[in-house]
Amino acid sequence: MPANATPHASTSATLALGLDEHGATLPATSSLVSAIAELRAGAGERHHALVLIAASVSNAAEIADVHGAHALEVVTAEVARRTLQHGRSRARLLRASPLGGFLAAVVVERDLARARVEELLGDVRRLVPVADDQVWPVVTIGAAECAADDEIWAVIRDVRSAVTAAGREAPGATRWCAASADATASTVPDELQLVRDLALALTDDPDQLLLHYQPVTDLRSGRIVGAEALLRWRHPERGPVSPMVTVEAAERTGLIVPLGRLVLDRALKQATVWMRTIGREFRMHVNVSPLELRDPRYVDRVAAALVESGVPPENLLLEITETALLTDDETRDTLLALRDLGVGLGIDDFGTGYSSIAHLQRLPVDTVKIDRSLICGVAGDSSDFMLTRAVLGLVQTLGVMIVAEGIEHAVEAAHLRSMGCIYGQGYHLGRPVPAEAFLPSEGKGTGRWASASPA
Amino acid sequence: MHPSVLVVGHDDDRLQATRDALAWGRLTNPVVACRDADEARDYVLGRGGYADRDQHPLPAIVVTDLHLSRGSGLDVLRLVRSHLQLRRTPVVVIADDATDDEISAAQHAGAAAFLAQHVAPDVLLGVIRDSGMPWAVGRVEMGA
Repeated sequence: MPANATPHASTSATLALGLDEHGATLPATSSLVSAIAELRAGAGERHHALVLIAASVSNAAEIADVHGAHALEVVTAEVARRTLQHGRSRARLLRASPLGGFLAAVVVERDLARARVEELLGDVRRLVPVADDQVWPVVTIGAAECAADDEIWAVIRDVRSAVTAAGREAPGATRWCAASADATASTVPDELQLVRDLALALTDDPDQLLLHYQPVTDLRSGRIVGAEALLRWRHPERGPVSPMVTVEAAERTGLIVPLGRLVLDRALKQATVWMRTIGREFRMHVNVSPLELRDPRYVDRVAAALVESGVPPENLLLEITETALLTDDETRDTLLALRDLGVGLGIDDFGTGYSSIAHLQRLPVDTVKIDRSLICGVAGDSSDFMLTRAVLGLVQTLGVMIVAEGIEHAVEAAHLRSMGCIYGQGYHLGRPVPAEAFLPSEGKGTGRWASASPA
Repeated sequence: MHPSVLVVGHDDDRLQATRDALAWGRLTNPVVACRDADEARDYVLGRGGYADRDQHPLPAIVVTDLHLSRGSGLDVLRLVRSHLQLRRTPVVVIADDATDDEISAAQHAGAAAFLAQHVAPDVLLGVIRDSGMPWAVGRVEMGA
C-alpha cells in the first residue's frame, strides 16, 4: 500500500494495485472459456456437474517472508497438485499464479457436488513440508457450479469475486457462489469502480464529499460541548454512498490517507467557527482509521493541520475504533506523540467486539464513547440498565470522559444521567446535519436544550 | 434513628417491591410511604400527624412518582428543593408514561434521577448510590 505517496500518486498507484490485488492474473480469455465449455459438455453427459474453483493461499505473503519465495512456490505447487491428483474427483488446472492462486475445474457427481468438493478441499488443506519445516497453507476458495446454461465468463467472475471476498472476511474458508443468475454476485468489479469513483472525488471533485456534524451534549444542561464530524459521500450517479462502504474501500486501497486529511482539514475549519459561536471549550470529534495511525508521519500531518486552522490541540478529539488493532508499536508511538501534542484521543464504539478494558488501560486515551448497543436497552430493561451502569463504573475508574452514543429517547437520556453519565450523543439530542443546520440560530451561542425544549 | 427514605405515590405492591430492593441492598434507613402529594407535603413540612420530628425524621432520599393524586411529583420535588434542610437531598422521580417535557421539567427542577417505573425497583439502590451518597444514608454495602 503506497502509504507514503502523495494523494495524487497514491490514487493512480492504488488503482493499479487494486487490479493486481485481485491479481491471480487470470483473464477470462476465449481459450479459457472454451476449455471450460468443453469440460462442461463432457461432464453433462455423464450426470456429472462441473465446479469451478478459484483458490488463493491467503497467507502467501507470510510464507514468503518467513520461508522465502521458493517455499511459497513449493506450497502453491503442492496445493495445486493435491487438488489435481485427488482420488475421487477429476480436476483440471486452468490457470495458476506463483503467488498462491489458481483456477481449477472439477468434475463431480451432480447430486453430491458440494460434498465431493468439500471432501477434496479437506485433503488439500493439510500441512505442506517445506525444507525442514512445515507450513499450514490458508487455502481460501471461491466455488460455483457451472450449469449448462450459465455464461462461463460470469461464473469465472463470480468465483474470483467470492475468493477475494472470502480472503478478506474469512481466510481459509470456502465460499460458494449463489445461483449464477444472481446479478449481485459481481462485487469485485463493483468495488473497483467504487474505488475509482472515490479516487476521482478526492482528486477532481471534492465537493462530492461532505461533512455532517452530530452534536455531543452535556446531558445535565443540554449544552452542546462538541460535534462529531461524519463523512458523507454523494456521488452524481450513485447517489449517497454508505459511509461504512466508503471508509472500508478507502482503507483497502490507501485512499484513507487523502480522505482522512480532507476530513480533518474541513472539520478543523468548522471548529474555528463553532469555538467562536458555541464556546472556547467546543471540541471537534474526528474519526481516524487505525491505518492512518500506523503511518509515522500522521502526527506531523495533524500538527500541521492544527497550525493551519489555528485550532488549539485540546479542541480536537481523534476517535479511534477497534482498539485491538492499536497495540502494535508504531501505532502506540503515534498515539503517544498525539497525546504529547495535546490532542484528545477517544475510543469509539466501546463495548463492541473489538475493544476491551485491558486495551483501554494501556492506551493514552482521555475519552471513551460507549457503543449504542449498550445504550439502547437502558430505558426498557432493568438488567440492561444495571449492565450499562456497571460498564460506566468500570470505565470511570480510568478517569476518562465518557460519552454515551446512540441516545434516541428522552428516557434513555434520563436513565443515563441517573447513572452518572454526563455526555451523550444520538438522534434524541441531535441528528447529523450539515454545518449550516447545526445550530438552531447561528451566532446565538450558548447551546440549547436539545431535548424537549418548549419551543 | 436513621433518616428515612420517603416514598411517594406507590401502591402497596410497588411499595413492597421498593422496600425489598432497599433491604436487599442493606439500606437500613426506614422507608416511609406517603400516598399523594398532599400527604408528602405534610410530611416534609412536619405538619398534622407528622409534627413530631423524632417520630418522623426528615428524609435522606425522596422517591416520588411523577403522577400523583392531588398534585404532581414535580410539586414534591420543588417543595423538597425549597426546604432549607433538604436542599441537597436527592429526589428520584419515577413514571412510566412521562412526556419528554415532563422528564425535562423534572431535571430542571433538580431531580437527582428520573427512572421508568418498570426498571425502578431493580435499579433504585444503584441510582441512590450514584446520586452522591448523602451522609445520612446508613451503611450500604458494595456489590449487587
